[in-house]
Amino acid sequence: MVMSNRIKIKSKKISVFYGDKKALDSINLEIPEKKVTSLIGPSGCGKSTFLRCLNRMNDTIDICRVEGDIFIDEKNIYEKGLDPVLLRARIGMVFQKPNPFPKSIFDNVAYGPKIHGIVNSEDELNDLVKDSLKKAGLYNEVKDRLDEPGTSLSGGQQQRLCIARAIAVSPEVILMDEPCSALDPIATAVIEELIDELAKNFTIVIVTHSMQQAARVSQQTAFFHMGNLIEVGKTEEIFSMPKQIKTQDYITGKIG
Amino acid sequence: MKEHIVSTYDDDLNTLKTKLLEMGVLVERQIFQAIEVTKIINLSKAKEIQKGDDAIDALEVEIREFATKTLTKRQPLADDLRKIIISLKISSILERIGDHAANVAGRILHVKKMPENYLTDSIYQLGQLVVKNYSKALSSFDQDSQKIAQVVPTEDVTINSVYETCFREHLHIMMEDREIIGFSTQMLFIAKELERIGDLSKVISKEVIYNLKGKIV
Ligand SMILES: Nc1ncnc2c1ncn2[C@@H]1O[C@H](COP(=O)(O)OP(=O)(O)OP(=O)(O)O)[C@@H](O)[C@H]1O
Ligand SMILES: [Mg+2]
Repeated sequence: MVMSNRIKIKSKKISVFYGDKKALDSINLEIPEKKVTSLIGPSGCGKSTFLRCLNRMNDTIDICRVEGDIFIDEKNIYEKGLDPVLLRARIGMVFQKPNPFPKSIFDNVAYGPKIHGIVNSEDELNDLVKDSLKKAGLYNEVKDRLDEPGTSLSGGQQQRLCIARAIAVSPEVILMDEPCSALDPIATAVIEELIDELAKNFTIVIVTHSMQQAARVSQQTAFFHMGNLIEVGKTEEIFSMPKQIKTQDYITGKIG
Repeated sequence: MKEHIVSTYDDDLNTLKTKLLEMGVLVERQIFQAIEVTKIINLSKAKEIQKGDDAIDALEVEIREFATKTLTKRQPLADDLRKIIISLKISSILERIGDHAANVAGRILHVKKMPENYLTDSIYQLGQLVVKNYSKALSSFDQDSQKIAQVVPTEDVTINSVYETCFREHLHIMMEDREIIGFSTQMLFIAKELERIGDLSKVISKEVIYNLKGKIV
């Protein structure tokens, strides 16, 4: 990797098992700070599993066992005694299907800051909600209806609401698992532009099935195949001149 | 050779290459015939060559449209993308080579007939080298062969020196015999056209090499 950036996340020999089944095999991957890294690869190759290692979401799956270490700012997040809840405040996550809480638009965003005790007053909370909605590019569309349920929004708006919710707790990293797969091209374009904007302040890791999306939004791309990390590099290089034949076959849709 | 999951995608890429080779062969025939009319001056043949350039221009347009359609339909990446880009580049080089061949024919229409005391066939010889090197460049593309492509620039060095020799020879001829100054001047223009075809053949070979270097080995 010839990106001269500071490394935010370092995965060292991460292997994941679901029961006896190995889903990831000794993944070493460095994720640069305030850049977008996309994870691509065929269905079932372990992209979501890897993403969930980064905020220890796999801990919540009973049969799941993680080996290896992940360092965020040189600190091992799999270290004993580390509180996964605090970790998740530093690492926001946005899912494939927008999943707003069955609450008002305002409360969806206010929820995180409240439980993490980030704000001290009602005014501060109001400002933070407004600011997060603005950063998510949603404020103008919802400013007159903050009391309405989050679920009343369109799919694209819901996804931006989830992004606002994620950034309200000022995370350092935002993980996105196929955030646009349920959205139309226009809503997708809005989210992609937002990702560009967010990368100025956050480290972003995104799983996507669209090569074009990976090419548009990310600076680094990692290709996974059957639980292995096959190739990682600058996005433009991966999509124009991949070094591994497996990568080339996948991104160009070849078999045989 | 690996195939795309979507087989019509392979069809598209194959069609593109076939069209390009078709254009290449047409250009080759144009160069060949243009060189022939420098030796045995034949005005109706020269006119035919000039007209023949339209078919080449039309193919270039066709290739550009087909490539554009493939780009939008398939959104190609990696080697597929490079294949389409090189097709666009090579078709535009072929179009220019076609123009130079037509220009040779145009010069012949100016001279009308060969003076009896013009005795050299050096420009015809230059033409032979040029058409041969062009064919090599085209097969290097056809066969994805770096080995063939590498020969082309070396051969072009020879072509350039033969061109220089032709040039000096014609200066000599013109000083010796003022009556054929007009004809010789036209022949020098022809030599220049041929030398340009040589250069453009070299550009094709370099594109082929560049394209292959991006390939997984
Ligand atoms: N909760 C689970 N329990 C058991 N096996 C699981 C679980 N989650 C994932 N797996 C298995 O782990 C492997 C990797 O799955 P993962 O969801 O990470 O793939 P993915 O690359 O995200 O695929 P997709 O593109 O379809 O989302 C698969 O074989 C999957 O069946
Ligand atoms: Mg997944």
